[in-house]
Amino acid sequence: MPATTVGLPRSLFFHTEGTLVRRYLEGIGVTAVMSPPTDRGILEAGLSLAVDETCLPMKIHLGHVAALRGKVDAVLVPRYGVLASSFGEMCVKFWGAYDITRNVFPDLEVLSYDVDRMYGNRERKALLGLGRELGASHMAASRALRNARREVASAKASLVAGQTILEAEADPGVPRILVAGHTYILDDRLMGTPILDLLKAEDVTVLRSDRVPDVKNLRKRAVEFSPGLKWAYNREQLGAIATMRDQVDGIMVLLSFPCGPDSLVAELVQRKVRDVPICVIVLDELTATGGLKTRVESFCDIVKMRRAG
Amino acid sequence: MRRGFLGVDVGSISTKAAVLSEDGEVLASSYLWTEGNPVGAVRRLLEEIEPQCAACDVEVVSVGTTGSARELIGAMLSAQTVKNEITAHAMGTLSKNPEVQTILEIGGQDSKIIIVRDGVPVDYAMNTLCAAGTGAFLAAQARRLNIPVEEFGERALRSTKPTRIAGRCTVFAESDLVHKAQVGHPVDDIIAGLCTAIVENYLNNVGKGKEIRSPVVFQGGVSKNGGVVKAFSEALGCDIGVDENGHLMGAIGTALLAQRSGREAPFDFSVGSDEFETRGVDCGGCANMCELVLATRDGRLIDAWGNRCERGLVRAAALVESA
Repeated sequence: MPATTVGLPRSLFFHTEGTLVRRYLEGIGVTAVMSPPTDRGILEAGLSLAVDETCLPMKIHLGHVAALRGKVDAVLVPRYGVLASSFGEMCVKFWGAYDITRNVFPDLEVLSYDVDRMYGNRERKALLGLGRELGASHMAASRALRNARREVASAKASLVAGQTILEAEADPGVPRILVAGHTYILDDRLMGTPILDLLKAEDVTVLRSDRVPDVKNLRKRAVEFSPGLKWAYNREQLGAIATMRDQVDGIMVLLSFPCGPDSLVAELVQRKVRDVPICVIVLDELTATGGLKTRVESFCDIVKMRRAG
Repeated sequence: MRRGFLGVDVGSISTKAAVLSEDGEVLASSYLWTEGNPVGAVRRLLEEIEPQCAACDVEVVSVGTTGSARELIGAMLSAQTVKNEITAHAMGTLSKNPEVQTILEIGGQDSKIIIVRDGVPVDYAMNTLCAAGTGAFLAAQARRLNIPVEEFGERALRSTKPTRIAGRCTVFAESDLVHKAQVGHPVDDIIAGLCTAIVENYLNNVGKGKEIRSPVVFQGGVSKNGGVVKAFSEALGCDIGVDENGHLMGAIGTALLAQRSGREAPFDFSVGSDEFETRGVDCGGCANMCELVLATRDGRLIDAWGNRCERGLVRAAALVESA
């Protein structure tokens, strides 16, 4: 039975792929509903559903699924595995999200699509398969996907271009800070947004690692930190730092507890970048804004004093 | 009448104040325990500072606050400058030790390192999630050993062979400590081992990847512990400077920042006797359940914080009006 209303949890992959999937589903006549931005209630629901040892973004993901329960016919939780040999792999949480969600919500209909080059599943093939499952003809699905991709590509390009313009136009007297972190952390209302807001209040130019142009080049440049990084997003982050380190006055690394790949990135950055001030902020479910404010404020002070000489 | 600048540093454990003259001389100072009541502590502080200022004919023209209660006390004193404790400490220390290249600090609940080059702070780090190796850890171990924490330094210095204690994690350190005591290591050696563990922990966490150059200044409550000072000196292979006035550096720094801000307003010590009240309210406007703090003076709302969005402020104003 094809579901008519599909819920997309505003977590993990859907911070980056959400718009594409939403536009695609709408194109094949399916109503797509995204869960609201993370708030304390979603976090708390997630905490009560998840095992203690899992990472904060996964806990938040489960909270988002819970927020959709009862409002949709099915929830869509994809599986992202190996993207391409040269890109690296997605974190195991992305591999397991579908199975974890199904196990936590046995009564919920969970749709999925599987992107994994190891099995020859590219994103296009996976999404067209999902369309078929939802009752769309191959032609309608192809057209919807093509349109959605075009739209999203131009939106993504304008985000990246926006940062490039910001970089070029910003007052050279104002310090620049590169914030390195996953999109699903930076764009989360509870994790990244408060920190980006605190930074903006400090009168600095904020640049994001996920908006540094030329992703392919970033993946290559990550080898300046380590030749064999496994995880795709971490490669992009390190590549962004390698590209931008000479152009910024400070680097802030955001990571969520207890993320293994992220803690490795923080370690590599702290060991290998010695000429730019670095601030590592570890986010956990208890993070109080008071402590964050002190850290962000003092980091910006140091960066400004260093510039002023 | 001379012009003075008041700096108030309200930490989790202690509250400090210093009044500086225009050329940076400390004219008045005070140091007392916060005892979980920052507003009360600052009232007592002002009572101690006022006669000192009167005695040397000083008029306070600008106020700065720092420390974890800086916003609260900033609102209470209508401070011109409210600054985080790291910047304040760096400014204070630099004014007293212009040559310093590294500032180590271990306080009651956090630890930091500030790297200074040519008189300018260029890098810093602060403990992240983990509070291992701070004053709170030492105090907890002191209770376990039933020894006043003030005696820790002296006893550590008596030891000739510090016991090796795993310092990576407070929980492991604690069980390791119990084990070492049970197998018969002398208490003094265990205390010396704890001091070494704190230093190793600090250098591997907060100090990781930082180039620690001499001269080094060590501050914060734990700097009063001779055992930790010695352990730092051995680990870094250089002398560690501990200033008698180390506990005042935050207050001195924030007084300097108040002076530099150029913002001035006559300060009235009677602000301490005003009806200044704070209360916590759950906003309840959405699922974020922000815990608002409302500060009122004589029944009027003067400040509110803790809100994530504008709705909180609107709500705060409405709550005070309805009361």
